[in-house]
Amino acid sequence: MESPEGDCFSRLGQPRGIADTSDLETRFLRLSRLLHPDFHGAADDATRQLVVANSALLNEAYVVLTSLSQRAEYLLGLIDAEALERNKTLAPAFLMESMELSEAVEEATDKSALAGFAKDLQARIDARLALVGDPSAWDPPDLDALATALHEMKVFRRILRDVRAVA
Amino acid sequence: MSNETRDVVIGIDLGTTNSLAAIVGKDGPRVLTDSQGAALIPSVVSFLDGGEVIVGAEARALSISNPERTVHSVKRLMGRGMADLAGEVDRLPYTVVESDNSKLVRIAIGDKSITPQEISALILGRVREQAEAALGCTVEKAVITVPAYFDDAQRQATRDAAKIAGLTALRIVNEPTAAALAYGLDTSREGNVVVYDLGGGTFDVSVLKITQGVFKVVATAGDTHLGGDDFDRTIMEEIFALITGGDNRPGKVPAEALQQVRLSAEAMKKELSSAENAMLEIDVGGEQPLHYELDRARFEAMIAPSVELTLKCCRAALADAGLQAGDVDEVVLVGGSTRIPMVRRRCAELFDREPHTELDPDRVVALGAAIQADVLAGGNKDLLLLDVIPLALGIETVGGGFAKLVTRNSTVPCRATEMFSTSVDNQTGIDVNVFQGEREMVADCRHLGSFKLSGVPPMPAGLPRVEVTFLVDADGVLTVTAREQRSGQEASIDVVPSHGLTRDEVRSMVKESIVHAHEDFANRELVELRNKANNLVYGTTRVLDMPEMPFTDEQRTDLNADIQNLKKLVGGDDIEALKAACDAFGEKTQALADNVIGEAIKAELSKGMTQA
Repeated sequence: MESPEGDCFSRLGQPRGIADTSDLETRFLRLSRLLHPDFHGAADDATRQLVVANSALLNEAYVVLTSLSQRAEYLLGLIDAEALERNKTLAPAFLMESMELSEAVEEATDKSALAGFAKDLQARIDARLALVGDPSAWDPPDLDALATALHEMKVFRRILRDVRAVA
Repeated sequence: MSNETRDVVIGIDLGTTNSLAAIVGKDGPRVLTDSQGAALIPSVVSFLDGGEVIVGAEARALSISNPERTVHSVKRLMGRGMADLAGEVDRLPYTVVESDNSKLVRIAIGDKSITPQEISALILGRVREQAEAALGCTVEKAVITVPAYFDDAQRQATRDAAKIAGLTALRIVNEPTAAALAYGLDTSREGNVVVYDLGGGTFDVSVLKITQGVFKVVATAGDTHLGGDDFDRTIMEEIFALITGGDNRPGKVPAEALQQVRLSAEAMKKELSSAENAMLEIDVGGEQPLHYELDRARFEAMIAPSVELTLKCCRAALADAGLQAGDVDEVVLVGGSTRIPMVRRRCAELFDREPHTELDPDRVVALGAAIQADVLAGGNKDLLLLDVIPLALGIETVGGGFAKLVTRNSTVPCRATEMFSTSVDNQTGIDVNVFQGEREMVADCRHLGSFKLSGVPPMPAGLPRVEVTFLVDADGVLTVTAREQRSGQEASIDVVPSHGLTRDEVRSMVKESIVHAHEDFANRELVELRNKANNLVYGTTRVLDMPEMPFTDEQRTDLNADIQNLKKLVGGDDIEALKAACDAFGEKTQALADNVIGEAIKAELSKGMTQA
């Protein structure tokens, strides 16, 4: 069956790569017009079920490709399915630093201190986003560096979520 | 197909306080009124002692004389359990009880009890009658709106209500999204729109991005238990305190007085939208009638905490959408409670712009539903609505944790797959609990239902790999399917909704439905089958007409023969023959359907590639 199967890039007719081509949204909207259940209301049950499933696949692909971190993680998985798992153990220095940061956040009480942490964490996340979003990091792909950046980003995101939960 | 007569599809706003229908005609969308020109039907059902059931304005009028058997605000009970309604049921003049076999609440009427779904079905039946009278034809299909923040159980309950009323709910649409459609119709407007919808029982806020005729909801937030009813209740509490001298335990208030106080409180609230002062005199059986006075400033102070809650939701939705208040191009106010000056003022302050209020807040949702109905009926091909799921969906993990499989604000339809395995050798069944919510532990989320994967082939523990697919359709309603990967065997799933009706229950309610007591069930089955057959014929003919479809002459002849046969059976009344023909044809066209959609995508993709 020819349907938006395959990987997220091919579902949206995008070349496989980290850089976002500017017509992603246009393509998504155009395909949505073909696939959305609203335009298949008169079809029989089997077609409608298929339409819903295909529409879901399309939506999934759009979400993955429009979020830089998700796109990077997905692309990395396509290139080397084991890359993330292989780099799961982060450097002791990084772990020590993030643990201290996490403890400092836990002890922080006043709003301005929390706002400061949030800003700091966001900057750390942005730095890693910049790294994985740089096309030269993928050509050829520096698998270990990319995987490490993605793991580190998750650590910071978790701490940032804690900050927001308190604030 | 040009000679195809389009289905009549109406839009229905099934509201907490009022319900109404609308349709798109030649001159655009319009609400459907009764012979006196009234569109709004109070969402009230009264059960008379003699067994007669009254719905609408007449029922509302009975709420004082027949308080215990007159049901209002039933929408707040849809898909809810007793635990969800703590503190609320005490202030209802009718009695709410728990079902014997599920957490679903029921309403006790005398020695019988009835589900919220059936009450809603009665209201829908009344709306449908009014629509049929206004249009002069039968209506079988509708788009029905629900608060955006309704969870799966509440949406499912609404769909079941439609079924019981004999209506096919082609789509469940979120109320704020419908409102945005109604406002966005006249222009080819592009930009970010916030819809603030404060109704009788619920609050919703949705942020939409409008591009090239596509209305894409990017974030939604809300509270399904915050609305005008709560404002009434704060006034009611003051009045009770006055009546009972501070001892306002609910048990002290007879149903009749409760109903009278409720209506008075509601009237005062409305008066305070235009007047600075409102006064009330209630006869409580003493020498002097009771005197109660409320000015606008104090009323605003009383409702301020609720209004602040709505603003907090607005900020959360903006944050989810990744927008600042300044990025918002338009703000639209919907729902009767947005007539309150304080609500308008606070909204204008938050977004730093004057909100739109041109369309009647009581009608705008129905008008938007009609526009969506027109899209589904095939009348409008320019507009596309992409809505989201309001709350994360997931499953219980070891230790009561909540594993989110679908995050909130995901565009629907959406799906997620998860692998399950066994923990004991030769285990053939796996129990899975499905929850919806935003918290970390399932205890703080809503239990949607449980399902058991059975038919897992006996294998050593951990070896079976059962892939479970969670699919959320365009209505925001979940279906679950499973497949054992190693054997390729389709594992069977039996979902038991914890706050809803099972399929069999719905089926028997449809049969016993008071609304359709006069109808012959077999006759209705025939009507449904005819519709199905017509759809099959329509869909297949359309595909056959596509020049790019690679059919052999043999296939064409075969399909055309089937089509002729179906058409003939549609004209007759042999249910069994029609059913058999439909099933056989449906199976045959399934493969065809796969192919067609694939072709369409391929064509579109290659088009996109050459343009890029």
